[in-house]
Amino acid sequence: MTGSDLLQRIWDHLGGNTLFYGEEEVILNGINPAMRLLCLLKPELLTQRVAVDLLAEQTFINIREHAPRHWILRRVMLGTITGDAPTKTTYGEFVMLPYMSLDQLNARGDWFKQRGPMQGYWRYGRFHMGVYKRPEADRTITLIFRAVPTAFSTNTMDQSPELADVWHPLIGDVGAALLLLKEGNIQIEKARGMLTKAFGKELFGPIKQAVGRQQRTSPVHVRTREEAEVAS
Amino acid sequence: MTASISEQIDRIQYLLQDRDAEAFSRNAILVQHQEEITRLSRRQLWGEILWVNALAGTAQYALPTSTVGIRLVLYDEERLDYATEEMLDRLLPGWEGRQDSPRFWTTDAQSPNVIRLVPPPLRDGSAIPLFPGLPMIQDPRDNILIFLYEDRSGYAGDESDAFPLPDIWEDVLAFETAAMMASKESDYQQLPLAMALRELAKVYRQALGIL
Repeated sequence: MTGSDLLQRIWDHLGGNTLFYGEEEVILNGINPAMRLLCLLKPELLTQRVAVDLLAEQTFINIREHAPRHWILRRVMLGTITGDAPTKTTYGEFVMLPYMSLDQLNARGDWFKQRGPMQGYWRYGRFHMGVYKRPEADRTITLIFRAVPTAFSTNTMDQSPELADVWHPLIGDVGAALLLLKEGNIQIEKARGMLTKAFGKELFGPIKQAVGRQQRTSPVHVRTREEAEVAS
Repeated sequence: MTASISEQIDRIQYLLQDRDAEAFSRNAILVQHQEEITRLSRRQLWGEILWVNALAGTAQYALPTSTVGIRLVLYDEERLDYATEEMLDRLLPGWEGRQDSPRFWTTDAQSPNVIRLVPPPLRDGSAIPLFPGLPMIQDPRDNILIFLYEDRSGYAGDESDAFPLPDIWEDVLAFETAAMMASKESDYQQLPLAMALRELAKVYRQALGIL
């Protein structure tokens, strides 16, 4: 399915209502977050690889620069494995670099000073990583990570989602549910049901019952309620 | 493709069914969106590695105001240990007057976002860029490297800014910002929507390991 097909599927779910659900809204609040939600709940749907060239002495890598759509770093290889065949580094290396925690490294006071063959990688925050030890010459490493698909825009609706074809209809179903959420109590329950059906499990509990116990608290609503009580 | 802040505000307006900004101005949404980024930032999610030029005899160094916390401090490529004033009194009597290479860092009794190296450096570090084109281009020798956590909301202060976090966080921030706007004590309050969006944001945050 292309982006346009997904758009049509969502419009079909919403009763062909193209007036209240314009293309831009369906893309921004339907298709794109639906693709990301699918990947969050089923991370194996999209795995990508990217080769990163490190210069001698370079230890820090901003993952966001090389892979802005990554969200779980799975493996780091010394060498290049973006294609079918692995390519060794200039120095004949092709090995997996194990994860090392910063605390583990920092237990050795001079860890940052160490230069030599790479022995592992470390993470810092959500988008920084580094290699240990610092390379004495240029190297290439490959990052293998879970990613979220490229978001659609109104100009790219002729393209297909990066997920396998079998998941495409689900993007439309989840997207329609996400769009329905803004419509209030009854539609929220309907959207909740659609999400439960799409994922085969309840993502969150009933909103309607909880809301039923709560009254609106804004001044205008309080005043209206009190006036109604006085009148009755 | 990373979204812009403007696109995030469009999304939020659609969620609030307020495309003509009758209920909430775009600027009000922008400010709330920044606050939601700050709320996430306080969880120490966004690491940054800061190079600071060390100066002989200077003990105190100011960090960016966006600093949320400090994880590690290295001086001359070696670890400095964190110490409180009490620890320093015990370990290095007369530490404020000592002259030696730095061994500790502290934020105890300092102004906000200021760290103090103990003892202060004996040498000036070089400020000449060493590695052109690298993420960190300055020389770490005789200088300070600080692994800190920062508040990224400063990068989202204008509609033309790019979304300052990995793409996966767009949804959480859009939902939580819209939920906050919808639950405000205004004539446009929509509690059911706010609750539904919070639940949805929770699903995303759970998957991302942030609760």
